[in-house]
Amino acid sequence: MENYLRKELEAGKTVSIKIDVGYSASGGVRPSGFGVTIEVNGIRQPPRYFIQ
Amino acid sequence: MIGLDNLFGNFERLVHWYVADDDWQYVVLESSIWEESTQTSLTRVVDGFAIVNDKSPPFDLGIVCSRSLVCFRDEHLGTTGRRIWGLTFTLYPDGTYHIEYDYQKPADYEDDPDDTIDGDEINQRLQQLQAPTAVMPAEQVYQQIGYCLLQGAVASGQHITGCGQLLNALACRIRMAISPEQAPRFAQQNPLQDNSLQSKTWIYCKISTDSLVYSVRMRSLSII
Repeated sequence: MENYLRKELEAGKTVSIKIDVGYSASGGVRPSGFGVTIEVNGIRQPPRYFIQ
Repeated sequence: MIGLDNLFGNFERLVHWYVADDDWQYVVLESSIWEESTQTSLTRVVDGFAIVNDKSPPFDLGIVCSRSLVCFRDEHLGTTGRRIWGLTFTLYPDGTYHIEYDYQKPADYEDDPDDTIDGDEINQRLQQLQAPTAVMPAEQVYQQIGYCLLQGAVASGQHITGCGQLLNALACRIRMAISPEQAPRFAQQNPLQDNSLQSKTWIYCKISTDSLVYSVRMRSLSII
C-alpha cells in the first residue's frame, strides 16, 4: 500500500489518508484492528482493514 | 463450513447496511485478501444502474467482515489446499447469493518480508518520540505520534513500513512519550473525559505536508 501511495505522490497527485484505530470490547491498549481510507485526488477508495 | 457461514452472515449485515431502505436488484462485494488485511468494494445495482462505493461502512462492521474474510481464507486453504486472494460475493433480495473465488495472486502483491520492520527499527523510530522536559499538551503528544506515523508510513526513503505494525507498536508503547513521573500531571493538566487518560475519548491528529494529509483517530490510552 505504501508503495502505491509513493507512486501516486511521485505522480504529483494529492493523497489523503485517514486511519481509524479499533480496540477490542474487552479493553486493553493493544489495538485489534486498523482501517485505512485513502483519497487520491479527491477520489475515495474503499477502506482497507488491517487485523491484528 | 463455519468460516463460510460466518462470512455470509457478516456480508449480509454489510449489504443490509449498504442498501438501507433503498430498492436494489443485487449487491456485489468484491474483496481483496492480503496476508492480514482486506479491502472490499461495494456495488449496488438499482434500476439497472450500478452505484459504486458511495459510502463507507462503520468501522466495527468493516473490521468484522475483514476478520471473517481472513478466517475463511485460512479455512478454505486448509480444506482445499488452495489459497484465495479475493472473492466476489453477490447477494440478491430473495436471499440467494453467489460466490466466486479468485485464486490469482495479484501481480503487485508485496510479500510480507518486504513490508515488515524489525524490533530494532521500531525502537529506533519510537525514540523519535522524545520524552518531554515539561508537561506537554495532549495535542503535541499526538502530533508527535502523527509525525512518527508519517515518517514510517510514507515511503519516502529507505524504510517502507506497514501502517498497522507501526501503529500497533506506537499504541503499545505510547507511554514512552510521556515520562512516568509526568503522567499524573499530564492527565491533570490535559483532562480528557473523566479527567483521565484512561477515558474512551477519540483523539484526532491531523498532520499535513506539501501534498499529504494524515488524519489519525486514536483512542486515548491508559498511562501507567
